[in-house]
Amino acid sequence: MEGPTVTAFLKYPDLCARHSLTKVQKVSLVNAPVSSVWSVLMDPAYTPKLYPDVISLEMNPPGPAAVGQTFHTLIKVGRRKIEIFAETVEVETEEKVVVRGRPGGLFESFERVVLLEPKGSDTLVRANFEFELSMGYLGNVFNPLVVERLVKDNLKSYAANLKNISELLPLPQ
Amino acid sequence: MRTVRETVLVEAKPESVWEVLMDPYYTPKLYPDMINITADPPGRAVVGQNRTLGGRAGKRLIEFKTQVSELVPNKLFAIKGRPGGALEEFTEVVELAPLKRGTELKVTYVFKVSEDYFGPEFDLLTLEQMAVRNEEVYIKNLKALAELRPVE
Repeated sequence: MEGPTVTAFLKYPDLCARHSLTKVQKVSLVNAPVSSVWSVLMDPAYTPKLYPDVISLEMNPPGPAAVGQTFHTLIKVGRRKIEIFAETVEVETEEKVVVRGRPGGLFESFERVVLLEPKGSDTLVRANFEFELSMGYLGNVFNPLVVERLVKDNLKSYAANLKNISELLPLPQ
Repeated sequence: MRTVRETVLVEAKPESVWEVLMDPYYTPKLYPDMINITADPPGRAVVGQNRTLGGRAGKRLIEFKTQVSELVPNKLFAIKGRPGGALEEFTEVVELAPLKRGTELKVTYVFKVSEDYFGPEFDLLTLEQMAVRNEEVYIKNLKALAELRPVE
């Protein structure tokens, strides 16, 4: 059907008018030492398994997470693949890692802070996420409410998947 | 030795399937029980690229060692096992053929679970079934990822 282009701003005025950060916090006790959780956090190649809808990522430079390492991540939304750009901005060994969004892609802004605290032989993990969707990127193809829900579900799953992977045991020798 | 063959129609051009195959970081998404991959050299697939994959078998962390053995752009992608991982023998051959409506994708796996790697604690038949399930899901996931469209 021919007609004027409907932008996300016209189509979803209530959501677009909000322009607020969405925050998600998950706290979990991982039955594994801090070193095990840390090794998962420091290896970006785990990312597609930590977030259910992340399908691939490219890191620069390749290898373990370090301050300044950048990511180009692909995430599936329905039958589309969309992009996320991010960068590791802070690393405190076995204590804290912070990843922040870079310009372009799905997020207007994004920050993930993961804090680790030893609890005996276990680890308390606090994962805090803050994000704002980029309405310009989503255009009129996506319903921002649906995308926001999908992102929140992914962030909630992150903590559970981090726990599951960190708790895997090596084979007995 | 166990052989698994799967064929599927992908509603995307061979180039789209090829892009997924060439990027090693899609691999953990293709196999349900793979959780991680390291490629040497890093980056897109090249013949001779060594891959070390982390996987799970129940609550255990296991390892697979493979190497890219043959690449014919948009036609054939082959991987073989390297010594030392969970599979004593492994080959994976993905054949792509263009069709009017997309791509015919044929995947053939030949593998043998390594008894030495797992030791007596594991039931080899269960491990073999897990491997077959992963390989059956692989082709479905490859189809799904190749059919994703970018944002215009």
